[in-house]
Amino acid sequence: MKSKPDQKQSPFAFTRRMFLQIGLWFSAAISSWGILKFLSYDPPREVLLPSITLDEPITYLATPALYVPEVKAWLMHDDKGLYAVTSTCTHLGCTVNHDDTKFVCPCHGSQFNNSGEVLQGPAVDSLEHYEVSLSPNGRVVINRLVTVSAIDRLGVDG
Amino acid sequence: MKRKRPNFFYHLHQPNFHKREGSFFYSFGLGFTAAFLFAALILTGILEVFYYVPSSAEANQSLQVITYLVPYGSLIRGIHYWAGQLLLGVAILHMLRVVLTGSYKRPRRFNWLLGLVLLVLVLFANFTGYGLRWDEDVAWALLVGTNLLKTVPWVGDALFQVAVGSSTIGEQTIVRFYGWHIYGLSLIALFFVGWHIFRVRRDGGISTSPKEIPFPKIPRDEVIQKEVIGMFVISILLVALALLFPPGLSAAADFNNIPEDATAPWFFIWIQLLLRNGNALLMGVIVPSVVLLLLGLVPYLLDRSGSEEGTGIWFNKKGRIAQITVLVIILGITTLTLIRVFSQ
Repeated sequence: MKSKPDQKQSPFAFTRRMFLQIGLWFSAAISSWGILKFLSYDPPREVLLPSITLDEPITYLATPALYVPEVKAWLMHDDKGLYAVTSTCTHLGCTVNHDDTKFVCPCHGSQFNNSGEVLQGPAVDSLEHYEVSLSPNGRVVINRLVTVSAIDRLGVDG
Repeated sequence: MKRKRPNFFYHLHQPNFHKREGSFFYSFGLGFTAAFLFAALILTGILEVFYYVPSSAEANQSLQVITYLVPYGSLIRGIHYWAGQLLLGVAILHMLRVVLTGSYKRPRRFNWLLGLVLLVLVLFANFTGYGLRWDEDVAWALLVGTNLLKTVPWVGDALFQVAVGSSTIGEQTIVRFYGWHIYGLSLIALFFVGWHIFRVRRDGGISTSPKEIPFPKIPRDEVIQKEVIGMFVISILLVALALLFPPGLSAAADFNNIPEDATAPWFFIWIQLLLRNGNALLMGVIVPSVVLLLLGLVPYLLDRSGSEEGTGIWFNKKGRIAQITVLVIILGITTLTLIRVFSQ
């Protein structure tokens, strides 16, 4: 382009070039938004079961802790009864292992006691408890969708 | 006698170089090595694509096919793996050379940023590459690495969704990682490599001391000679590493199988160690971002001196703060990595 004839123009004049530039940036912003939305589709699918029905309660008193991968929880028991603790570490979501008296996270070493309370960081929050109940025919049911207080137990006779 | 016309590859170089640009003990050929490794990665990567199946059910099996059944498959995969590992190391050494010789100073400030973008792309390409193995060794690193995104305030869940392709890790993740690894990172990196090399030439070639004027010139043939030797040596090294230390491959990832101890890929071990000792957002996102920001500020804040003040001079005085900052960062990360490696 040749030099502009009218140099008296205010330096802040809105030129055609500026208009086109703004338009370009604007369309870039809108397209980016569209691309982000395109990349954000969450496909519907059921990875975990909402709940699982296991065997009769008495079956689970033999082992100190049983991992139930279907609901990502550890089925535990103490002298008051059965309870279920989530296996997902509250720090960064690894699955915690059970080691005699405590849960240990393989990724960053957080430790929780058998009731899910933090013994050692970096995790800050306790592991949640899932509801454990009896089905009408006397089977243990773990419901992942219902969290309960850490003192809730399913009493076991015998 | 008819003069031979230089072929296409000759034109990648200008006819003459400053003598220092072609000196091995100045640049150590690190930038060239990185570009060559990148080329090797593209070539072997394209070959792997012909067999790899990006699905959680078949990915691991298809890698077993490449590794154990396809003729030379183990070699191709080994070269791809080792070129990726070496590229990261070479890129960091290249950055160190540039800092210690003040080569980031004007007019090369912007090219320093392009280099940083490449470093980040290489890191993520390495991470997604590991993820594509979809075996027990990478399963938990993948889970932690992507869960870190969720800790970012406000946009965390959206970031996770875009990176992983679903609200939880699963079938979609591997397709997404496949897409990111090849197109979202490597293809973008190819573009940045072109830009980076273009800027090297536009900014006056590899940095040299402006004091040596008039500078001694060498013809490009001398430089090309060294590059050919370099390519030869690196190729032999890649083949040797691929044959002697083939990359591992364990059983298919199974998130129901809880390991005793999960280790991050070696280049993220320092972050894993930081994460063991603090808040996930702080240690996993903020600290690495601050490190990156500090590196980005090298030519804009830590050393604002011009090209006349130490460009091309090892350990030049004006760049002291920049040199110390980068050295401390690299030593710090190396120390953390070694602590974790030796405490196991």
